[in-house]
Amino acid sequence: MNLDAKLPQGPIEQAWDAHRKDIRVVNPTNKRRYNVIVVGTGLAGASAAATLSELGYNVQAFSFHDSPRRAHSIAAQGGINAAKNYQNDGDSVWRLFYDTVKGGDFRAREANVYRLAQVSVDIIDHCVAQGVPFARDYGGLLQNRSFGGALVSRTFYAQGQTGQQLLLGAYQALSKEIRSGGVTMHNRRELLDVVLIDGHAKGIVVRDLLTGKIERHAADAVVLATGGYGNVFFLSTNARASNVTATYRAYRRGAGFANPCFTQIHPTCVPVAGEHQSKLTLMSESLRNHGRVWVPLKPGDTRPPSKIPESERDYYLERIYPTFGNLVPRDVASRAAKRMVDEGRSVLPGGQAVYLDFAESIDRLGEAAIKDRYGNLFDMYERITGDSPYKTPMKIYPASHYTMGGLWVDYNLMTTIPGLYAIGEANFSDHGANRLGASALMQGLADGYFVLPYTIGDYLAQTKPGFDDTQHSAFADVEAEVHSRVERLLNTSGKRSATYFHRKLGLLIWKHCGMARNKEGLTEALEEIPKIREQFWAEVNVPGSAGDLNQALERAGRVADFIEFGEIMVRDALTREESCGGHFREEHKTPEGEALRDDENFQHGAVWEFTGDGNEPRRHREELDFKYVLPSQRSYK
Amino acid sequence: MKVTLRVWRQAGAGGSGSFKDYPVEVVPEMSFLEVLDVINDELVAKAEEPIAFEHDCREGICGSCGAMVNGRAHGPGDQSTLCQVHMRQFSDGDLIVVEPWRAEAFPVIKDLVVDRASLDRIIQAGGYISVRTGSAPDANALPIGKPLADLAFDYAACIGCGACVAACPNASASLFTAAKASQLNLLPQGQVERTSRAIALVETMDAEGFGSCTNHGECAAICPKGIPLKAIAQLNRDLVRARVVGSPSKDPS
Amino acid sequence: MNAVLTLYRTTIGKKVAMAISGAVYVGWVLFHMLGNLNFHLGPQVLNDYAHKLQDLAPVVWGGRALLLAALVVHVYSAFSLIAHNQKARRTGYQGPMRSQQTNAAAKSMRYGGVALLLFILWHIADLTLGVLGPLHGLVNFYEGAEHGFIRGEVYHDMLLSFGSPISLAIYVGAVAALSLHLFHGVWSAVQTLGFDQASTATLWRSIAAFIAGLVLVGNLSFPLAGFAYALSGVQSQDVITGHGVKYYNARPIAPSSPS
Repeated sequence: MNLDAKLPQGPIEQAWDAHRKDIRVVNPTNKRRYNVIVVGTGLAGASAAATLSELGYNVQAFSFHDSPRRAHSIAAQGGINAAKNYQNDGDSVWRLFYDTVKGGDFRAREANVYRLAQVSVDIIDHCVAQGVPFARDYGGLLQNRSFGGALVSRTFYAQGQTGQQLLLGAYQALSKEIRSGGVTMHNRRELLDVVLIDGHAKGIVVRDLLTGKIERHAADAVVLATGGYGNVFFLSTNARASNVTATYRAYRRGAGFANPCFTQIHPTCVPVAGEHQSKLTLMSESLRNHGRVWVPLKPGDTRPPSKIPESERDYYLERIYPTFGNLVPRDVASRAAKRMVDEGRSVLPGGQAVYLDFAESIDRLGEAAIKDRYGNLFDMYERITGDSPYKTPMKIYPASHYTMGGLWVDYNLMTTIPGLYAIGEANFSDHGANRLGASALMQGLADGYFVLPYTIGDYLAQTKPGFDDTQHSAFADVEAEVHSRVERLLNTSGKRSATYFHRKLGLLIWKHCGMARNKEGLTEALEEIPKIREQFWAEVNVPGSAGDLNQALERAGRVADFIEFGEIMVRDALTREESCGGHFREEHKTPEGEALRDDENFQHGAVWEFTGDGNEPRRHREELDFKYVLPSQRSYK
Repeated sequence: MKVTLRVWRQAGAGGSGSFKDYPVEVVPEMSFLEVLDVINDELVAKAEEPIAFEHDCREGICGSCGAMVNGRAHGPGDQSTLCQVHMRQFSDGDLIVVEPWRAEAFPVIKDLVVDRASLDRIIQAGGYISVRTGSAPDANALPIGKPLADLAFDYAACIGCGACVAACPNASASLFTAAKASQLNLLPQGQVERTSRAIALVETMDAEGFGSCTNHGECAAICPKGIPLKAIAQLNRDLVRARVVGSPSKDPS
Repeated sequence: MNAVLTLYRTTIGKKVAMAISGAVYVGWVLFHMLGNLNFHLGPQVLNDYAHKLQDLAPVVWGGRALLLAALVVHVYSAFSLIAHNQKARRTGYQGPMRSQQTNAAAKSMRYGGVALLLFILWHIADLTLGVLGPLHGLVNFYEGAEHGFIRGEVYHDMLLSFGSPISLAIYVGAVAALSLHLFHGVWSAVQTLGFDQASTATLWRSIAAFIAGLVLVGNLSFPLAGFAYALSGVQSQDVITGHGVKYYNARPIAPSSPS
């Protein structure tokens, strides 16, 4: 497996410019002869599809939703980082780069992160020009807020709906290009496999979710923008349809899957309320700007929060991390919550939760000021729980939220399969072992608007344009495989829904490969997952037919892939014998219980190669070199 | 508690459908969609086809879900989507009638699933600001007063769920169309295309087979994002201005 | 002109046409009501006013032409929008559909509109053409009903019409319908023309309610008064010009009272 990241040479500040100068460029009149497939139309996919079309490429865009506007990017609440330094608080490209590398616990490539910080400023300019209604101050200038893991205010936001507004901006750009004819939009199509010809990605096979028809689509390059795999935990803040199928299928075709064990647990979610819970809801991390996290000092204290005096409360984040306080990065905040609950100080009888209390901020700033900032989040919380955060502290608990792992990509965002690209959450590149708040939107749009549209030219310029042979035997072979998988699902006549297995898998992985992991648990999970897989194929029931809208069939296919993928994830967690970022191995911690990295042995990206069903996947390493931000133990104290 | 869901079942597009009753045991913390999940799990166990319904984020922002519940779009509760409705809003023994959105522009695909692509086509007609990636000036080069920015945000909050169409006695998409048109037409960035946008959006809305607005206000009353009715007034004014006064960006020759 | 036609092609254009033609009628209704309030000042004043109006023939005919044109535009647009809207939901809700916001005024616009259209025809036949005399003769409490319609004797003609309980009921019903139509129509027109903004939204609602209330009270005042006069036995010789009554003080005169 070739893991040449094609990193640019020279000083990091000029690397991206130099790289753009060096890579090949398709001449403008030739661009229209190239077909590019973009799968997934969230922030990364929609922005990439729109920009590629603006450049003149012929784009075929695919979404399994009824409209590109439904993509889960829409649910991001808090904001988007950019090194604009509009607040004059000393921010710079370098500082954003530094914070991101450090926040990622030194498991990301410096060159990628530096580029991300550089283009972050262009994103804000572009989105404002699109009409994205970011928050503004009374002088009419853009407003910022601070976010976990940063000491400057660099987060741009649109109330608590930043993801929605940015996605709609990208969706509108995509709509503009659909109108212009540059993009052909295929809604309600789910990718079921990638087609390779002579080792190059040349197309995809999709299922029309309304008619069930299996379709072949050919192109000169394929871009996967299919998001993350957080739903492997079953309960997560991801949308219900979010799944791993596209990236997992690409993995099975030879794309390396990097760092699958790097998953992010978001510290502030509405806790699980019952056995029927289908989905967890995130409460934006921005709430930690004005909310104080606490639990009772004494374990087993069941008094209502208003009855617990100040002296008997433990504001544990402020106590343990006096410098960052409530604004420590997500992984640190999540594990601290878990420790409190493990100590028996949960504030949810029979469940798991800590308080996020706004009383002090409401006293200081007034209810109106808090309402202005977080009104919709408070309403959302009240709608779910029936409690008003204006009156009583929120109950929160960590939940799976984002996955830093993903398809391995080089500096051009190309996977190990030539012609196959991965952007946004689907790739692994920029966040290392932990993503900072408000950086997902930044990375998705950076990849889609400002990186991929240029770097893809390097590959296309070396490729003969206009590949459209869907009659090629490779397509026929892949389609036959897809058909047989669909048939197999429909013909298994068990009694259980796919959701049953998904829940079972999720509970297992959450238990052993969630916020804290250890060898014993991971080994057990690795033994259990194949059993779930076997039981799934013996007992699942998928009613209905293949030639129709069949949501049970869609779901079953996704769950089947999650089960197989879960194995790689656990295997990755087991082999990474260190703690870093979102990956916390209980065997590797400091005396204070913080994550303990092992830079000597694990300063690398672990890239998994598929070696056939029933065989153990092969682990490769991409060594990481830190020239600018020297690895140190992260400290937020 | 026990409730009965009377759900519209329809095998496919163009076919006929009918209501079917599903008694189900629920707890107050369950969300409405989780009740459908439970019914579906039971149906799958009996090898029957589950109820098709659209949903995704389950936190009221993606706009996928939606149905008429007891005659109200998105069911009980102000400014919420169907996924945000919880069973504590119902009582033991309730009969809950669940029906898909009804509009010619939203043909039923199956059960509670309707095709809302017509809304996308309205946006494609001009619901955007034509700016090429990479060509934008500095974001702070153009200050926008907070009240204007806030109003634009209020309009931009639309999630495209289609409830406004479903609740409108005329199946009009005026609120949806006006929300996007007004957001962009208010902002300084949107001025260049203000007139062409107003015309294109309204003509596409008409051509897609949505009804016209009779100012009943049903749309704004059920809008999960509380988009105000005055958005429509703004669009009307922009359209009249576009047609009668003409485009400000028109070539002076 | 082209711009106006292209505008009219859209549903919003048709609504704008309805708003403007409706505004013409709101103006007319108010003007008509003000004129008719002269009824309360007695036959002499009312008849003089009517005759003065008749002398301005070009204005009258111009006004009639404008009203006719506005009516055609209003009704044609209404029917064309109704047809468009019905096509927008051919299959209605099979279960319940509860409105959250719609008031009776909004709900009844199209039915009220048709009723008003019929009423306009009735009203022209009654008090402009004067061809309903035989009908008014059937049951009538006005002592002068036997004279039938007399062109130019506006006060008498109104008593003739309002003295008939059938006719009175039609007038009362029509005025109520008109008021309801205006309550939604005025506000709706403002919204359609885009005047309704955050700061003025409630103001316009109030203006619409005020106009509707004014039209209701004003336009009911003379039919009801007329009926009351008829009931209390107004003498036709006191009403019809040429019988010597110069001033009528708006109080019914007892049949045999010596003045």
